[in-house]
Amino acid sequence: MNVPTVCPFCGCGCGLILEVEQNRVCAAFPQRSHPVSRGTLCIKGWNSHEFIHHPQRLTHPLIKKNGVFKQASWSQAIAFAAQGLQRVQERYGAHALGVVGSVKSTNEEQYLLARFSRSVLQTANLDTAMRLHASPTVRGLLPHWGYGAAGAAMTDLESAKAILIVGANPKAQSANLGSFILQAAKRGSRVLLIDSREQDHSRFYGQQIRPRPNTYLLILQAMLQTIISNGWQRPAAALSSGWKEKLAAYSAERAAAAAGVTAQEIRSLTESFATAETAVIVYGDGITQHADGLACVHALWNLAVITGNLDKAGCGLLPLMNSNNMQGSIDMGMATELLPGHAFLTDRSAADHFSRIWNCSLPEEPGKTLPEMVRQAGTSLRALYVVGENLAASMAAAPALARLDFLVVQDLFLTETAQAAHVVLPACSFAEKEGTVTNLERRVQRIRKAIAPLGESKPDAEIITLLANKLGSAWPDRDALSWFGEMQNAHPAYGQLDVESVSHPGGAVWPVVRNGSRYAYAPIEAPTAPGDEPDAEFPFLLTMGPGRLHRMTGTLIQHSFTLEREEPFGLLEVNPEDAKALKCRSGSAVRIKTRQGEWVGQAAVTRAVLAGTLHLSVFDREGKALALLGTLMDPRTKIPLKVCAARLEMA
Amino acid sequence: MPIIEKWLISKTHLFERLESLSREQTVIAPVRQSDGEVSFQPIRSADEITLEYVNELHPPKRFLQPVFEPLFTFNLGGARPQLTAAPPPSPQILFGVRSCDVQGFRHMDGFFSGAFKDDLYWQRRNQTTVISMACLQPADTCFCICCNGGPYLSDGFDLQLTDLGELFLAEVGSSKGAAIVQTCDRQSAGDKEERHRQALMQACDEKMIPTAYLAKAVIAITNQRVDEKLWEEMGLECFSCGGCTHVCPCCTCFEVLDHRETEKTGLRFRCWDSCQYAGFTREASGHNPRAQSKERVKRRFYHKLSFAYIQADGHPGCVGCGRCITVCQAFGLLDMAAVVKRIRREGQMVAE
Repeated sequence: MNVPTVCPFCGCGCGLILEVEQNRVCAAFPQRSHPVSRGTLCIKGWNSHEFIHHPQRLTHPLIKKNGVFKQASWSQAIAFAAQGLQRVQERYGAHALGVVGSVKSTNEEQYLLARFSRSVLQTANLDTAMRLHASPTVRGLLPHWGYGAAGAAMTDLESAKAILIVGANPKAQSANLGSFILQAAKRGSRVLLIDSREQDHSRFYGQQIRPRPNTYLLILQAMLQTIISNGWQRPAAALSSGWKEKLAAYSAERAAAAAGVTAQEIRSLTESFATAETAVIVYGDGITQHADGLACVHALWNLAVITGNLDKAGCGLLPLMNSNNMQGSIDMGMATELLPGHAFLTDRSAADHFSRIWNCSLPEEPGKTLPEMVRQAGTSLRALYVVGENLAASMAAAPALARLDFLVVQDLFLTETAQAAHVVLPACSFAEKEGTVTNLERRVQRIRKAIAPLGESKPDAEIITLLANKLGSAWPDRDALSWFGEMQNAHPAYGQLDVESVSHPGGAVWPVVRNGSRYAYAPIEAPTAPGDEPDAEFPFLLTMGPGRLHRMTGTLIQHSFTLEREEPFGLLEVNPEDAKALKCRSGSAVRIKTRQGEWVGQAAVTRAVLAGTLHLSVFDREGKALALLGTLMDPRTKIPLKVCAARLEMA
Repeated sequence: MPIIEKWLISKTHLFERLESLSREQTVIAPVRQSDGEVSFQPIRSADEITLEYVNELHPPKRFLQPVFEPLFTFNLGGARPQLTAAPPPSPQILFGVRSCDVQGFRHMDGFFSGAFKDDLYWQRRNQTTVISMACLQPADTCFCICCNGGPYLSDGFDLQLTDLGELFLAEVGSSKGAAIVQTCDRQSAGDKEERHRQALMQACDEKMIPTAYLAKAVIAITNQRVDEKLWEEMGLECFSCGGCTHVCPCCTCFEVLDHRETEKTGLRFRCWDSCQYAGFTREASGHNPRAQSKERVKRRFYHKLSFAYIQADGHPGCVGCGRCITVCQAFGLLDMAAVVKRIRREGQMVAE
């Protein structure tokens, strides 16, 4: 039996066919008629069936007694979880409870979890790993564009005359998006890359400039300044008063000096971008996880507005989403500052609407974000309900989790986070449930149940409903897809879709209200001090980011034998010049020290990183690499930064 | 060349036979799926069969070498290890397989023979009856005429069918094929039908754009005359997704792994693998003889096109099914037809 569904890994949302024999998913292969995958898949998609039947899948609820997990029935486990949460709520209040959702859960499940957090637990502390990747996108785009989402589709890359990529490696991070871009480059479109690291496809692109990390904002402001001083702005793009004067401080020369590039490189890249008839701007973690991420998103927005690259075919911003349903987390309001349908919690009319339909009161101000929940664990936060997120890996949170009074974890595997739990609820994989997911271009697609749930595992929606009802609600026990209707009521754009349209290969893209390019500019902001600058003791600038395979916390990858084998350990990329000074070769054991921690591993000597910088792929399950970073975060969006000063030694 | 028996069998009659055979063994045939694609699937009724299809993306080699294949379960808890073999394969009929895939089976037969004869493969193979379908509808990616992969074959099948409208022209290639024909109402086929078939094949030939002239690429690869810069460029373009090897009817590589249920018990199985993955050749020390993508891309084409392999296998490692053209994430850059063309046009070092 062949079951069409959607790949559970990155944000591309490729169409997959699962081949099922005797209730076992034996293979995954691409869907030819799918608009994103077009008959192709990346290594993850081709091997996406492997983790489903992994023998370490959780098949029974577990309750910890005297430090040891004991198998329990569902009714025992749900009662235990409900009592634990209730006890904390009674003793410390609802603000001591937190909920962390999964960016891999379906839209319906994320909607339910947001509703559960707000109306059943009545806590303002809810978040997902969206915080760690896309929060500057939401905060930066929502007030100006109306949506914390992409304005371009992947097919716009086919018609765009120019593609500007900033702080992203599409080939490695979202392979099918990278495939669209490679084709565009080979066809002769202007593909322009701003990234400190060289990429496999760099040489096929029109131009790359390689600024030092943390200087991207200066480059982007210099691009704006160059556009204005050359009169390349579109007629419709009226400038705000005082703009010219404000931008005068951001010359190409200033950016060039700070970034270690030439002013001519900046000008020529700007000309290629601004004089193209249409352009798509692709950006990723290299923007959002570095200093001034929100200011950079504002600058990219301004670049799109001033060149008129919005609301037309072949135009728009295309932020990379790292997970198959990270967009769904935003859409469903699974974040402390958001409500479903791209409204901020502080938007009182939206808040009134949801307090009416959810029958609860909503706070006026956001509660704790994911990093704040972790930091305040054991003090103002006493209990957590974690759905499918390995905080021990994504936030180096193992010590924080140990400080909690009560921890409920719902997952496919006994992750490091689950091991710290008081009760573990076994969840189903994407192959065992129905629902919808939304890709990085707002494409809502159906995932389908291919096999019965493994053991006693249950879909997230069912578990959340059980828990809600144990805590006194009376939610109907219905199958996940029938929540689609309620979810649609909550989200105006989803309201225009129906189950049938999202069930076709490629589903349906949720529509946006177009504004005819008459958009307000975002503020022009000055760079801030990143806070952890290189000095004599820590002379390098270390950046961290995902490897080709190890995205997010790697729970699925590490239970897929082919994928786990492909990148068995993290490598530290060192420039040959720095390697020579240190007498280090590829494969040498090296030690990184930062002001916060230490990491030992293997070096890979490569010109892909600039001299004076290091790059480490983050994927160790204990979060040791992340501990190097300490607690630096963007003050406005609370996104932890993946850049710091470091010292490199031979181990 | 053996004289092949040729018969005429009515379509409806053969379909009825397949339906009744499906009570005794697994009959796998092309079936249209909910998303419009056609896929080879086990059938219970002749109504499920469609004859309107081009190559399925997921090749029928999976019925001889499953993507996931249990070998045995083990229990190391007792005094001696206890092994229990997986249930043996059962008889199956593959109906409607295209000529290119049948040529692929021949390649697999070679790989699973030799010094290490693979029992499990041969148990399955010997119980498989291949009813192939001469190709009248090449996809726009097909180039079997460049690789001796079709559109029709003179051997390698148990029964080869040619669609003549109401009737099939059935050519018997083995006793298994003969056994099926013998239970059908049939007439002897004559020169008229043979001429009809020839005309159909000629028409099919002409629909194909022969983009993959292998000869020059074979010479260049065999004599190490492909410019290193071309391999390097292709290595950088390659996404290392492994798709080309997964869909190739001639690719047979597999990995053997254990799923431990407990510390002492578990399942040993094998599954498809790909030489395009870095993990495929990485050694226990961490050293990898083909660490870079360019080395893996090069390896793939050496295996498929160098003379040493062609001589050992008896044919190139390509049957012209064109699936690698569809699945390649570097669209149009790294499939067999593209690489052969690039070697021919841009990648040959000029002899000094």
